[in-house]
Amino acid sequence: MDEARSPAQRRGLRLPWRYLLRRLAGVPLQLLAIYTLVFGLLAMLPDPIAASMDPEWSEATVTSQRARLGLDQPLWQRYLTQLGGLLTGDLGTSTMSSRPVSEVIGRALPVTLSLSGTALALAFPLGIALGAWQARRPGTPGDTGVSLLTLTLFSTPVFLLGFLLQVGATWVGLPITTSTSSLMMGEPSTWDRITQGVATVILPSLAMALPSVAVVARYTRAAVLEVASADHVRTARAKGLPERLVWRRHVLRNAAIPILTLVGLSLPRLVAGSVVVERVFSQPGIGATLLSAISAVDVPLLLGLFLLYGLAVAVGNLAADVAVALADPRVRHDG
Amino acid sequence: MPRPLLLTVPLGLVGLFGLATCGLGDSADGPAPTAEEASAPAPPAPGETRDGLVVAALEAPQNLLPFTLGSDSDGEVAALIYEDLARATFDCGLTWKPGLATEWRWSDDGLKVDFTLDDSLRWQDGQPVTARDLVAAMDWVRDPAVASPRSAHYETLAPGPQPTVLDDGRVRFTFAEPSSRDRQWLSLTAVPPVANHQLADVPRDAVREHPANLAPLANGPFQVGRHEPGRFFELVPNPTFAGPPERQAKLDRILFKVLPDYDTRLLELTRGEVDLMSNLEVADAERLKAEHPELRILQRPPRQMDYIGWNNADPRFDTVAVRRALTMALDLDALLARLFTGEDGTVYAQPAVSTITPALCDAVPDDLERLPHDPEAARAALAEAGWTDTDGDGVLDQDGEPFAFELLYNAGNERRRKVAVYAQEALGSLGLKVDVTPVETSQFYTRLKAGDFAAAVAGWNAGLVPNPTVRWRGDRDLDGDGATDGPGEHETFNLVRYGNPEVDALIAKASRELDPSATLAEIQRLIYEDQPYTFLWWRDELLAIHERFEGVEPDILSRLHGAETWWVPDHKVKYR
Repeated sequence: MDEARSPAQRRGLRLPWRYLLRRLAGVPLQLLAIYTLVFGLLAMLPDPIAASMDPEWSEATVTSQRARLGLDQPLWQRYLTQLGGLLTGDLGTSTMSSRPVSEVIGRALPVTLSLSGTALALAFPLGIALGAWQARRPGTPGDTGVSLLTLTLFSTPVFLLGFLLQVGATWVGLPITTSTSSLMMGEPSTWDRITQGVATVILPSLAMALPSVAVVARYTRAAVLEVASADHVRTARAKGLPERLVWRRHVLRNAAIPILTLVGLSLPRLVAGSVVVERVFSQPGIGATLLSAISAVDVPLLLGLFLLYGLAVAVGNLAADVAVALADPRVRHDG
Repeated sequence: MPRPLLLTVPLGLVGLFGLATCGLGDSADGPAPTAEEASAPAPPAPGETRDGLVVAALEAPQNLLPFTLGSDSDGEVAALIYEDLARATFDCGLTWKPGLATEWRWSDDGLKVDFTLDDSLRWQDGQPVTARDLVAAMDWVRDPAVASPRSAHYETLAPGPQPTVLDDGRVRFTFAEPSSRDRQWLSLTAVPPVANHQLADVPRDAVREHPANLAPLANGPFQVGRHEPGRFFELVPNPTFAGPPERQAKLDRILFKVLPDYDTRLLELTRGEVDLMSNLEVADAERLKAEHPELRILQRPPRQMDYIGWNNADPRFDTVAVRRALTMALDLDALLARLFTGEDGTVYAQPAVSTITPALCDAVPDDLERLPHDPEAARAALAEAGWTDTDGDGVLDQDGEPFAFELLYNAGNERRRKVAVYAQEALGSLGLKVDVTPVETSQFYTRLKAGDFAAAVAGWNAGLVPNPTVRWRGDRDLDGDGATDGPGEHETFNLVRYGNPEVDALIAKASRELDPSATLAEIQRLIYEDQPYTFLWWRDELLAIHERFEGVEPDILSRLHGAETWWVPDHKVKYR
């Protein structure tokens, strides 16, 4: 039995520690670059005071508002002050809500994680299953039908998907946002909790997941078809290996590499959320917070959010590289 | 309207006391109630509450201390949790009714006002509301470290601590210089009293981060209940409120449900998940009227206007004749009818001739009529101003320069896009080349304030105390260089860089008058003559509310003005 395993499998799935540490060391520099770039870009936004000032404000009011937001300091001083705060773990105070940025993000993040996590948990298994199913029967009416379906899902704007899901939920009598009766009546019943979960997690997650299902299915189909026609697969079949094992060991395992990359690249979406879906379903996650922060030109909050995105991208890329390295020994040895 | 107290007898007792009640009514209080009146539902007895109101909110309030109030949603909640010196009501103009003060007396020179305070009012923790809380409010709002958005209202008051405490129950406010009585009231009531004992030892520059900023002690009919940022915010009756019985809350709660998306708000309204939604589009209001009999559609008097602003500092628009010609080229009545007429013929807007709302009954002069729609006269006026098509390319020109410009509007505003496209077509037929350009909203207003535009479709949300200074004054020395500011240095909100010395003098005069209505009328006439804007219309605000709520009157002050008097008949209660 042991002979049937590849050399990599026999060595076990060891983490490429040196590679990992080298990549990790680069993350702070990446974050500093992101911070500097975003700070520069935000400096070009309209003056937050000019954007929000009331016609009745006097010059003294404008001056005190500018001082409160630190806008009376030169740009370089603001950059250094905020960077200093960042190094001590202080992301500053949101000008919009007057709460610490870390608290605002900390409150929104679980909402987004639950939506995006559910969306990814739905999108990948479903997408991979659909793609693999298509790859087993390329060119058949079933394959064409699924391709059409996924293409339609991919082309449908997310806000429209969300709205259609809301209309569908209304039709079957489900709530579409946090249930009012549970807010008004205090302790919700079990049924209320279930419908609440559907309204606040499942529906928005579906709206986020459906376009991703299309992408994952297309990726999987292409990857599986490419590997299925490779020489080593033909050889495995010629050696008389059962078809089930050919698919499991030689096709799916090798086709998993680009899909793992896709998983890694999707990780930032876990924290980024979806501006449109969170707004349509009234979920106060990171996407909705970003939209409010942009409207209010809340620079400290925007900086905090972009840093979070930067961190998520860095970690996502790293996770994808590690996963690929684990699945493909060539990467480990080259890296 | 609340029913007479006699009719609040519980239903089971009506049979026993009905005749006696009718008899008493007959002899002492006029005719007996009709059968319909007698069976009409009764409002809750004083102290009794029932049901709740769910309001569709774009955002939750963020700053609720009297001196940190900023957004509209902050102000809406503040009006329900604070009892101010006097309560504003609106009937053709602002009037003031007793609140924290039971009575007041102005000095003959109009610079001092003495208030007698109601000693029965309490904060929700039981502490009495005192003169010290008024002094604390002034102290907080004037402190630059607090950076109160409302500090400008207090610049009209004399320097030094205010108000002066005359004795335990009386205070005096002193103004630095005379101004209109309405503006004085605005200064007196812009910041309600502060429960200073809640803020002991709170650093002034960090007060917004204190929990009291979102849950301050109330002294009004409601107090802050549960809240979850981004999801909901709740007001519940304040049991210590000692105001008159008719002003004690009659609902169990008011819940602001945060729904940032318009379509979601509308869907939730039709599903019965929210009871009140404002800022409805005309088409949606019409549909709700036809398909949802459980909803009442109300029109709030207008405070929002639209206009096309011509940058007066731009050489193409710096002559009165050209600006008047541009207005005459547009069929504004037809455009208004097209955009604001419902299927049943109801028109949800009215023509505008100034930036003062027509809801202030006598503030806009009756004889101020709109310029006629007269494209031929407009063409002739342009020709007289030197704009003719000399090169035969179909575009008017002057000194080799074509009359071509960008007409901006804020992206996403469909109504303003329609106005811009109509203007493009109408002015194009006169030989003007107009490029319609949508601009992202914050960028749009930044460009307007910087004067970086030729023409723009924009709007105002009008105050109820007219202040022409900020929009029309063009002779101020804002940069302090000793010279009157020229184009580009006007008041921040004089977006079109309008300047007329006669208007400037009248504005200065009006700001010192106790009753400036005649001067304001003259200012409006002069400005309309000059046509710095093409004034378009005042839009009614449309809102929908569930029919089970009684006592609801659309009010210009706020969609929830007087919500403490709203009630639900017992048989219609939805949330028990």
